[in-house]
This record gives sequence, structure tokens and C-alpha cells, in this order.
Amino acid sequence: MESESEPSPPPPPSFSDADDPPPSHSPELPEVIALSPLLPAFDAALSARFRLLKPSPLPLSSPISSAASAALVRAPTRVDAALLDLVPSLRLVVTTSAGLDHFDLPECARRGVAVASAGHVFSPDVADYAVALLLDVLRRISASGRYLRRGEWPLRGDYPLGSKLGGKRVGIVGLGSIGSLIAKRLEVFGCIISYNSRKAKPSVSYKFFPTVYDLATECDVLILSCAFTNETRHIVNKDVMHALGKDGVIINIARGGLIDEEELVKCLMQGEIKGAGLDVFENEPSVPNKLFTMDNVVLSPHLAAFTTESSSDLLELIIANFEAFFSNKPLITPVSGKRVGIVGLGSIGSEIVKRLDAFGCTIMYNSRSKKPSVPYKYFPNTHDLAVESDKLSCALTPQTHHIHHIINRDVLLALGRDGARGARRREGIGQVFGGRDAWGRGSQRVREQARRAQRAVPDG
Amino acid sequence: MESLGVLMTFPMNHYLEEELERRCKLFRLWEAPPERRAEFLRSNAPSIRALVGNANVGADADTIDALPKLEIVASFSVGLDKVDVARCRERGIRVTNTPDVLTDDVADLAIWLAIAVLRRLCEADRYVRSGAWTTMGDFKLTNKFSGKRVGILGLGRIGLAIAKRAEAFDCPISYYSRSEKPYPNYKYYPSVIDLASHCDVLVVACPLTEETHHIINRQVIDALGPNGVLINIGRGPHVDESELIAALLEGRLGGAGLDVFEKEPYVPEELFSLENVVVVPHVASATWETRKAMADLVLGNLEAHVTNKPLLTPIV
Repeated sequence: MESESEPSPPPPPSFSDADDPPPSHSPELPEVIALSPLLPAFDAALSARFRLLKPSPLPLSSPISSAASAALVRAPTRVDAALLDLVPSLRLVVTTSAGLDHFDLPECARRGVAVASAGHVFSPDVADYAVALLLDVLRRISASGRYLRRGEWPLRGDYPLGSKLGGKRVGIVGLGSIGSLIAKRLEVFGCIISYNSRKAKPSVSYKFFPTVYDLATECDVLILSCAFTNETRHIVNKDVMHALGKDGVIINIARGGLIDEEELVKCLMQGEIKGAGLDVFENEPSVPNKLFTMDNVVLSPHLAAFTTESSSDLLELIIANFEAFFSNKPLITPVSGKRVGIVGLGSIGSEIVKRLDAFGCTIMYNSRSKKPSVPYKYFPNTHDLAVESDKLSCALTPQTHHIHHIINRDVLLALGRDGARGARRREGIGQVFGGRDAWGRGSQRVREQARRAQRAVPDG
Repeated sequence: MESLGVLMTFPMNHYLEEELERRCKLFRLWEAPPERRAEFLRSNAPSIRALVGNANVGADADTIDALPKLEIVASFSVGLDKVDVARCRERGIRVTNTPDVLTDDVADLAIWLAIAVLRRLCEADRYVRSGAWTTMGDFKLTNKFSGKRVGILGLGRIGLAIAKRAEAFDCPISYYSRSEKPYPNYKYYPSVIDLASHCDVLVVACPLTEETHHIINRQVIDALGPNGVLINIGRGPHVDESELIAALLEGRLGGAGLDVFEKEPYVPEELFSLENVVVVPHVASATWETRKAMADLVLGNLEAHVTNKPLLTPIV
């Protein structure tokens, strides 16, 4: 319907059907800022649905005058305080990758900027490639293909035998979206799956190892599918490789920096490990030349995620996230903040929850009884809450002194290495076991428990 | 079984050869040059009671006829296309093969070939080794394997193992077989062309017989189409190789992953230049674990034969 208060443009000459509504002021397409260079397909698809702003030059170095609330970025464009200062109108940043090392997530949360990632669109393709790399390295299939193409089959007979995949003990480092798909596939090939993760996952039946070293001692294969962080840099080092042993195979479809690459090359050359399948490297696109002549390695140029299908799935997902945002619906693939378990949801607990909610945390709680009016997930005991939480926050009152040992050793172990680590700092202890001064003696006892439990949870 | 004279037709496996040497009276057919083969057979025939062959050299009618004392043919393979089974039956000669122990390795390779073709795995590896990544930028987008429709020609032990694996990649499974099988999750097609028309990846996993010779012909290849991928882990003669090459060169077929060829060990060089083709030298069962298991099965069958016990894996 035509608006009375605004002048409407004249009807286009081709418009002739009287039954159609008269043309009105065409609605403004929502604005999306491209804060990284876009692939042509993405540019075209986004421009068709949104008013796509493409500031130049990139990366952005000076403030832009725009009221646009949504932006698209690609790694390695950093989304941090500096960038957010330049575009203060932003309320949503969508990124094209599943990895988020280019984001300062706490900063985004502080500023109320939502983040949407690529979610699981790449996971099947990466998992497929990991399986293919592993088979290739164990069976020397590509190497046999090279042998064939060199014309050696008629001259020298059959290519030397490889090693069977079935029955191999496979250790997966990082059992997330990709790792779990790899596990699901390799199980059907007859592999025995175990894993290392920041903490054990009670819902999976695979054996958990608290460190990558421990995992390596009991596996024939290590597959890396974890995030690359300060903690995981060079997580596969000389000791891990020696623990894996001379028949060991390493598959890396995550990030090059997870492996001490120089050491890896040495171990491969000296036969300290049997072989490796590598899609990623420390200094891409540079690859250590010594690998080029090895028949016990399979190499690929960081392509495990990238198929025409995953790219079009990604584009669909990006558009869906923007459209959800603009119609005030929940994002499809929001990056959730930490999962915080609140022990005690009284007046203090509720205040804590309000703040954490604003930071984008996922809230769960334990209380004497379930509170139906509360939208968060309820756990009937603290242990189960701790299993699902990254951090535990205790907000009990002196009236509840009869549950002083509510945070006991079992709860701390369930919380895991990262959760318990929070208890080391003074304010962390207060946060975990905190509450009132009236707790005094109780919290001291609990602090001792925390220290003892911390020693029981080995650092990786 | 020291008195058992065994003719080994081909140097198929060191361990098997050593064991036969140790435990039997071993005759090595390949030690005689081709023009002296007939004579070799003739002069040793009185001693030869067993023959151990494989996919390279089996026991054809001429060889069987040249060995009047032959009692058992123990094939170091599951496929018996190189054994004249009918002739053995006529003569009362026992025939054994090596089923089950190689099923996993063969199925593994079939899946690997499909992923390797779709994802251009070998080409990508060459791209890195040549240094192209540093000079020519990122590799192109390739094609996803997960979720592709997988059609299996022959739903025997190996075909089923392939189906089970492909299911883990969320691939819908269909098959052609001489008769429909009780697998409700797998869609049956009554002809190979129907199967080829309705799948993205077609895997040949049936025995080679007169009926299945060139079962993959031009019509089937065209039905599979420019986005379809053919995987052959059966026998070379399952596929009309010249039609296959023509289709690949003309873009009528999307890709091929081949472990077997009509005239092994000779592989048409046209196949080397195509980026959508992966060729490997008959490695489907080529792991030391599986070859040892196959060898033990051959030895076990021979042992059972000489001790008058039931054969482990008899066909005849």
C-alpha cells in the first residue's frame, strides 16, 4: 500500500497489470559491511539480498561513517577492540570459518556484538579428507600410483605392501564437530577410537586420555582436529612423536602450528615415526622441501574443507544468519560464550546470571529444586552440572551452610582442567566456592579440596 | 606335507613362497622362461599334486590338462576368473580361494578411490610437491564425497563392506545384483544401466565371469554420465577399457578410480594425463596383514587336503 506521508516514485513504464498493488517506495535493503575482501560468488549473492558496503582499503584502518549493524569477515581479518572502535554501530559479525582465532570473543561479548561462525558446514569434507589421508599413508596408495605412472609396474613387479587400516588404534586430538565425524567414519573401518580433549565427554564411548602424550603411547595413529591456541601450539612435539613410535602415523587437518614441524621432518627422516598426512603447515604455503621426496607422507595445500558443496552451504548459512539477525530471530550458528553452571539460583545467583547472559554465556543451574519460571537447564546435583559446565559459580548463602562440601573432589574433577584452573586465582576461588564471609572455615576446607583435586588433574 | 608337490605359478608372496619351500616340494613356474613352460610342466607333472595361483597366473584348461596328478588348486585370491573351475570339477580337482580375509582392505580401497577422485587427492599432492602452492596460489574447489549416491555392482562380501563404509559418510546406497537381497536400506535396481543412471559413484564389486565381462560398457558409462565416477576394484575385463578412455577424454564420464586393468601390468598412458582419474597397481589386498592371512589360508587349505580334513574355503 502506498504510504500517505512519503512521496512515491512514478510507476515503471512496464508496469501494466491493474490488479497488482501500486509500486511503493522500495524497502531499503539491510546493510552489510564487508570487512574483508570477498570471493566473487559471495559478493554477488550478498549484493542480491543486502546493501553490501565494501569499504576500501582493507583492512580497515580508519573509522567509517556507517550505521550498518552487520558485517562479514574472513580470516585473517582480526575482529578486536581496534576494529570494533572503527565501526561502533556493529551488533553482529558473521565469519566464513569455523575457527575463531581471529576473534577477540570476550571483547565482542563486552560490547554486545554477536558472532556467527561457519558452524559445521565444513566438517564432513574435512573428516572425509582425514580418512583418505590416513588410508593413503598407511597403505602407501598415492606412492603406488606414482610407481605405476613411472612405468615401474611391468619392470619391477608389485609395489611393496602397505599396512591395513582395520584394527589400528586411532587417537583423535579434539573430539569436536570434525573429530567426532572422523571417529564415526573410522569406527566403521574397524579402527579402535580413543581421544584427548580439554575434558572427558561422558556421552561418548571412546576412551579418554588426559594428555596427547598419554594418547600417543597407546595409539598407532594420531589425528589432529583441535583448535589452535596458545595452549595447543606444538602440542605434538618430539616426546609425543617418540611416544607414538616407529609405526606411528600423524594426520593433521587442523592447523600447522599444532605440530613442531622441524621435529616432524626429522622424525620422518630418521624413521622415528612411520608417516604423516598433512593438509596444513606452520608457514603456508611454504612446505619443508624434504617432504617432497618422501613416499611415507601425503601432502595437500590446505584444502580439506573446501568443496563446491561446502562453499555453497557456507554461502547459504551466511545469508541465513544475516536474515535471521535482520528479522530479530535467533542466529543459526551463534558462537556461544562459556557454559556457566550456577550453584544456587537465589537473589545473588540471579544477578550473576543477568550479567553472564549479557556476555552471551550459556547458563545452567543447580538448586535445591527446579525453578519452572527460569529458562535455563536444571541439574539435580552439582556433579552433573559441573560435567556440562566450563566454569562453576557458587552463590550460596549462610542459610545453606549444611551443604558446605557441595563443591567436593568429584565435582572439581567433573569440572575439568580448565574449570578447576579457575579456582587457583584468589578471586577465582571466591567465584567458585564463593559467597559470604560467613563461609569462612567452610570455604577454607573447600579451597584445600580444590588444591588437592587440581593436583589430581594433570596438566597437558 | 613334505611329499606334496606344489606348483606356484607366480612370485605372489615371499612368506607363502618360503613356507611352501619349507613344508612342501615347491616348483616355481616363473623360473622357466615362457617358451620352456610347457616342458617345465611336462617334466615335473608326475610330482605336482597342488597348484597355487593368483590373479596374475591361475590354472587354465591347458595347465590343468598338463598336470594329471593335480588334486587341488588353492588360489591366492578371492576371484577365480583365472581358474578353469569347470575343468577342475570335471577332473574332481578341489578348488579353494581366500574370501573374507581381504574384504576389509578391498572395501577400504574402493572408498579411498572414490574420495581421491572426487577430491583430486593425488593431483593436490603433486601440486604441493611441485612447489606450485607457493607460486600459483590455492588449489581449486573439489567435489564432496559425503552424501554422494553410491551404486554397488554386486552385493557380495566386498560389496556389502563397501556399502557399510559408504553409509558412515551418509551416502545413500543402491545396488545391482543377480537377485534382490534382504537389505531394505539399500535400493535395488534390476539392471546395471538403471543403477548407473541413479548414482553418482558406481563401484564394480562382482566376480568376473562370462556374463560380467565388459559389464561396464558404453551405455552404462553414458548412463553414469559427466558427473558420475566409476570405481573398479573388481577385474580389468569388467570394464570396456577403450570405451572408458574415450568417455573420459570426451568428458562423457566425470571420473574414474581404477585398481585393475585389462592387461595388467600395462596401463594405458592416456589415463595418466587426466586429473579426474586415479590409477593404482592392483593394491586392493596389498597389506602385509591381509597377504599373510591369505597365505595362511592357502597353507591351511593345502594342509587340510593332505590330512583329509575338511577344506577351509572350498569352492569345489
